[in-house]
Amino acid sequence: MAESDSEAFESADEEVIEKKENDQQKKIKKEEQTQVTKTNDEPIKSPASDDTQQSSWRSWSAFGMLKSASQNVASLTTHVSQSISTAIESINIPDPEEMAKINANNEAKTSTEDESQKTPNEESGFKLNSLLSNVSSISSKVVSGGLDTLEELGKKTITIIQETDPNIASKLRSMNVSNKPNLSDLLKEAKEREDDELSGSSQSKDLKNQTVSFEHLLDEYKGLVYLEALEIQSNQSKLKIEVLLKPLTGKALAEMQETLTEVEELCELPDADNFDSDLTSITLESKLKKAIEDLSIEVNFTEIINCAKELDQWITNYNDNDTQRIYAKSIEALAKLCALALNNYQKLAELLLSLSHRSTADEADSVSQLCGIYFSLFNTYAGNYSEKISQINSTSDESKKLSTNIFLECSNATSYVKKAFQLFIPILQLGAL
Amino acid sequence: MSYAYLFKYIVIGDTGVGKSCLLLQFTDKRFQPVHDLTIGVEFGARMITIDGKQIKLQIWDTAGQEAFRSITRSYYRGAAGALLVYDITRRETFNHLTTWLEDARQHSNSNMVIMLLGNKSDLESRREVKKEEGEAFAREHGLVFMETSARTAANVEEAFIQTAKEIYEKIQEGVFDINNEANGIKIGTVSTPPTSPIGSNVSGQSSNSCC
Repeated sequence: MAESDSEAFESADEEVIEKKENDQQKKIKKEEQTQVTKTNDEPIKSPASDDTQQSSWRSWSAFGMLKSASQNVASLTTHVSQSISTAIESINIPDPEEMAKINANNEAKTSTEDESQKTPNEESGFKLNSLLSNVSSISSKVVSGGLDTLEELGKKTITIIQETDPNIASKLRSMNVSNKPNLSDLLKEAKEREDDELSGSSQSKDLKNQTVSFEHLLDEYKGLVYLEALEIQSNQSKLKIEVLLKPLTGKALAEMQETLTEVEELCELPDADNFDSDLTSITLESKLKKAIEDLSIEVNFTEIINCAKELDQWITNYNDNDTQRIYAKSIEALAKLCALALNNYQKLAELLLSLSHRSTADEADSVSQLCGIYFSLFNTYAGNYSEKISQINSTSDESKKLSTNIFLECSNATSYVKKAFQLFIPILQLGAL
Repeated sequence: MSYAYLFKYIVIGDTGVGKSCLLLQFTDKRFQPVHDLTIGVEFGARMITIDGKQIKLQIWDTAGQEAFRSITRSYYRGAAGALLVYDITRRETFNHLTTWLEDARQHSNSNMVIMLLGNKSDLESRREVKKEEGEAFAREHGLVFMETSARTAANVEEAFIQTAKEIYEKIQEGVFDINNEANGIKIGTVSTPPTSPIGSNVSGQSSNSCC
């Protein structure tokens, strides 16, 4: 469901590329006799995509080569994932018990939690480097298979990485940031692989199912359709800017373009790692109000504030020791907060676009501030739930795994807000012209 | 919550004719006499069954206010169905239908199914637009017509479902290119809900086949 919804976000060009990829994926699937069951629900190939297939699968002999190339990639993918698994295992997540002690003794829990988030990022970032060099050394072996093969191989690698995990493909599509999986995607894939290995235990199966559901829940809470509406306004604004630029030449054009660049510079994305994780539903309300105080419009934040209040209450009142239940609740909370944050942005965009007089500097400031608040919000609640889990059981691998997953989905939620933030830029630019 | 198709609807018409109330009645089966003015667009969704197939209706409920007109127009594109609503107790809302219809036709795909709804049919004593007038307008412009009441729920279910049936028939006839999402139709994903054990099997197999 998430997949099909998210596809609507893409601009026409990207849709075309996406279709090509899909078709190539399908082709590979079919030829390699993978066991993914096809149902009648699958899209019927359009004539346009058939052309693509003909060009990319030039002849049967080329295909033979490709097939073996694909198999190489497949084994390569395994290698990559295994390396990532190792990377994950070697991440030093602070012992939850220790964390709890520190929290009890020290008010400064913020910095501890920050560390717990930063550590995985830095460490795994470092591991990724060595991992990438691994990949390149393997690639060089593959070169002996022929340069043509390698060229095709490069194109197919990403497809096959995506194919091993349908979920990652849908996420990439929805993020639409680039065709390269980002760190959190890789970590997530590795996580799921790890769960596969442990599939003997029913607990890890549950965990895996839970992991998949962030996107599903985000869709349930209408997060994806809010983003879609925002993207429509964003594209519309881009078109209007183009129309305004078209008749201009020389100095007038240069000035206009300078204005556009200035607005873009105003919209610097806050760094997700530099945000507090000590928001409460009370501070949230005042921060949100403060963020938009210079705007001449009213934005209704009631829903997101109420949601935070409910979450606070739940965390305070939950006294059972079911860590799985807490974990499930945390993913639900992150998905809901993320959807509501996207809703705030969508509404803000519509309100600003309906104004006859715009104030770009103030708008850019508000949009950036909101972004920071949402990042803090996700960090805070991810921290709260993970702390709750470590209070119950701080030693078991299961608990640590749950905490890691919570922070993964937290970064996932952050990515969606980043996407919304980027979509906002043309909307602000239009107001400045 | 998997579905065979997703249809995107838009609800349009003058402010205060009851668009949001019709949606609320359809999705939540309740009536809210005082409703906040809609800003930009609000969303609703409900699953229905047609011809034994699960269909998800994703409804974009637009603001009727003039100030949002240029914003909401950009949502028309990519809708498979439109509910064009007027208020039978306010003639001016009926008089504005032509403008709404032109707007809709201009900014949407040509196959979009448009349903004309005369809302507030429970307020018979305050009626200003005869049912026959609605019927005539619909006939003239090739629309399907119904009188509805968001308050009593009369014809509300029917209006949304009838529209879906028309879209579904057009799909069967091959009128809609279902692979083009600009038509407001999406084909459901094959993936099963995350809680289903089958879902984990499928992904497990696909990763095995690749290793």
